[in-house]
Amino acid sequence: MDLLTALRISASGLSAQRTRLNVLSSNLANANSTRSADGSGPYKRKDPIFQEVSAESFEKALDNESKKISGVRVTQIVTDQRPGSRVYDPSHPDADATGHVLMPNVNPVTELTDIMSTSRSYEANITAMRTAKDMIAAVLNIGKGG
Amino acid sequence: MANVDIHLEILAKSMSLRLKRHSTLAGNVANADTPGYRPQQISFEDALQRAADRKSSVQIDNVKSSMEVVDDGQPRLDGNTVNLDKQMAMMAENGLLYNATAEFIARKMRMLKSVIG
Repeated sequence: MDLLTALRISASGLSAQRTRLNVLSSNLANANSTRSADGSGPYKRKDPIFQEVSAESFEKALDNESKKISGVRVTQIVTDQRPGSRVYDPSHPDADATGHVLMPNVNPVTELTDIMSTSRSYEANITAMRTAKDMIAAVLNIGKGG
Repeated sequence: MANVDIHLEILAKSMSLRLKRHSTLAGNVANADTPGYRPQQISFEDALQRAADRKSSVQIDNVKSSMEVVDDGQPRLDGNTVNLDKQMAMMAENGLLYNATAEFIARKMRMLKSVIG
């Protein structure tokens, strides 16, 4: 357990939340994309999956307790397979024989609230990092001012 | 540090334990959105108090923190039980006390220094 473990744990949180923000932004940007990148129908929204990862990989843990302290990482980004809505729009180039277009399964409201929650979590990790920084500064100040 | 000052040892020990607590809380905050994660909590106050009461530097040095899962409340739909506000409050408190302890040590050092001359 050293002073920098806390910083690394918070950094892992920041990194994971930033990935999540990227995925959510991509979902929001593609809220009206009727063609996905691989050409298989409309865009399907993506979801990042978080997993706790032992802080042990950050340092050689001498005691058992450090093994229980964990950071976080994004293990995979899964595709939401729920079907999107069908909209009647015969003039659309992607309309099927009956004039319906398959829209993405993205709900902008859900994405936006998720983005807000991501932003809050990011800030919480920043605060944790700032606290750790202040703690390190306090330790360094012990030797000063003699 | 052979009995220079028992208080200095208590302060130093509490700082290293508070650092550990901070890491634990930082881990809880980092995992605030991890499905199924349950927050860890470190306790050491009682053990440190007992060792301090005996005024034995060996016992103070041997104080171990205990770690356990303490749910902040009812699990969310994804099984996560972290309450971010609670964790942040504990973290702020822990950080302040850590800084205060560092300040105490710094002052003690200054006192020692002025005595030595």
